[in-house]
Amino acid sequence: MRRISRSCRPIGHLRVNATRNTPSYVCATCRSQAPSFSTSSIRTDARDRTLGELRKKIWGTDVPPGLENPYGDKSNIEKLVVSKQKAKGKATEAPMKPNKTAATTPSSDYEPATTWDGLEEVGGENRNTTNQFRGFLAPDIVTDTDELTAALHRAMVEVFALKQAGLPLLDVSQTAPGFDSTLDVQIVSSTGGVQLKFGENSSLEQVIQSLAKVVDETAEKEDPTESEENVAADRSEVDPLQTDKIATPVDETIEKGNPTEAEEDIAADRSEEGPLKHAQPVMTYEELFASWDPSWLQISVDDPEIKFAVLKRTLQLTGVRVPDSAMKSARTAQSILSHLVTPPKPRKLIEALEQKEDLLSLPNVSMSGRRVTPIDREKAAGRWKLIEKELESRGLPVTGH
Amino acid sequence: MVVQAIRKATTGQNGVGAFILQCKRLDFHYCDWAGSSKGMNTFLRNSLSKFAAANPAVEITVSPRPSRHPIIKGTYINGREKAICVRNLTKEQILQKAELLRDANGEKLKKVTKPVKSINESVRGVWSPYHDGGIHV
Repeated sequence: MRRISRSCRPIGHLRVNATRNTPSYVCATCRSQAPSFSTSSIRTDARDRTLGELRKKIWGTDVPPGLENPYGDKSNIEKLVVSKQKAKGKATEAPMKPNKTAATTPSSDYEPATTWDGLEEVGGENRNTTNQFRGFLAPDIVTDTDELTAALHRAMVEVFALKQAGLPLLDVSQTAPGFDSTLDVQIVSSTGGVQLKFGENSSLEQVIQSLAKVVDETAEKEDPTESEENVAADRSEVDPLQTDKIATPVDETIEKGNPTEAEEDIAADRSEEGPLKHAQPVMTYEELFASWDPSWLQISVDDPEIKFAVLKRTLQLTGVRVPDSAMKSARTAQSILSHLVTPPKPRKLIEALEQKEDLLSLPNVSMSGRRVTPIDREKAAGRWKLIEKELESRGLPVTGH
Repeated sequence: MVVQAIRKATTGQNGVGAFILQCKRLDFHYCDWAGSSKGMNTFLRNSLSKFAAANPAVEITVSPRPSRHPIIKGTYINGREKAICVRNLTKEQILQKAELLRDANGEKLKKVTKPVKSINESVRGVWSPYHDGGIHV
């Protein structure tokens, strides 16, 4: 303790100089430590004199090298820069250094700088328009079990479609999730491997095309091939729903309610094209899952490349992260799904206990979700009806809990 | 004719011939909210099923007692009850308390002053080798 206080003393002079330009606000901790420096009333000239003496003593000469005040003045390099800027003249300086007010409210005499010398920040008026960040994950994390199941099925179909087409599997998450063209696709595991069975409304081309690195749908329509035209025709009826692909099967119940005349006409028109085309939108998740072969959950994802692609796509579609440990142990689509779909944590103990099979199967254990009251005990003994009747006959209030 | 009671040759003692557990019911009360029930809730989640399976002769009830400390209440065949507050205890400590209540006979606690408890106490007391006349050879 003693040594520290001694060494503080000569530093104290320097410290005051160094902290001369600090803001007026000092936090409580600093204030409590401050007195060792602040109690000595150092005037500026006295301080400079002390500093000069100290420097002379350190260097051992009357003319010490370096700055007069090494703790307060600008360094030699900074001085050099300032002098150079002054030499350049004010005429060139003005357009190069846009002041802040000009940046916030662009005026008519604004001239963009031609070089970056002296600029505090680089970028013009339209700087922010080009930098629009779009995240990889879904903006909202999906929690609904049905949506998660549908997303996993979609990811599986898309990954195996890419594999079937011989394309790199990681292309699956290249594009932002758009229209789901996999609702009508069956994915089954057979002895020869995983097979995709496409329905009337879907094809391998369509799935691959939905994963192609084209974000703008209109760009596709500009020069369509024959197959693309067909695809576009198929898509056209569900175009308005494209932004909200997974929610489509749910919202249909609303649409089912009372169709307007125009809707009925449209339905009648579509009937020629095929019954599935308008049957698809009015499908609930239950129907959708029933239409899939249940064996898709047993499909192996042992291949690390497939597993990674499926998990990446699922992450992109749902925003649900699967922990690394679970990634390693997951071998089938079912096991991935079990990690995606986590049952909500029981809020009450009784809810947790009621899920325990071993406890429920015991004949000597009984559980109650609420407090067991005296009336409950009387009821259990079969006395409560008698008590109630007796109380009423005597004109007494039936109270208690 | 005077009715005579049948003379009893022996006095019944629990455990001689048959053992009947004196504890007939254990009530576990907990609170969902309070921190003092943390250990109790853990016990109910993790250890109760094993304890209940090991003691099929004891009826076990679980019910909340909101805004109160957790307790275990034992009901005995002599009509008495014993309750132990298990606030802030761990699940291992709560298991010990549950076993204590299960093994208790429901009687009031008595101070044990004599070394031997018997229905036919000896007048002479416990034999001691140092308080005899000794054996003369």
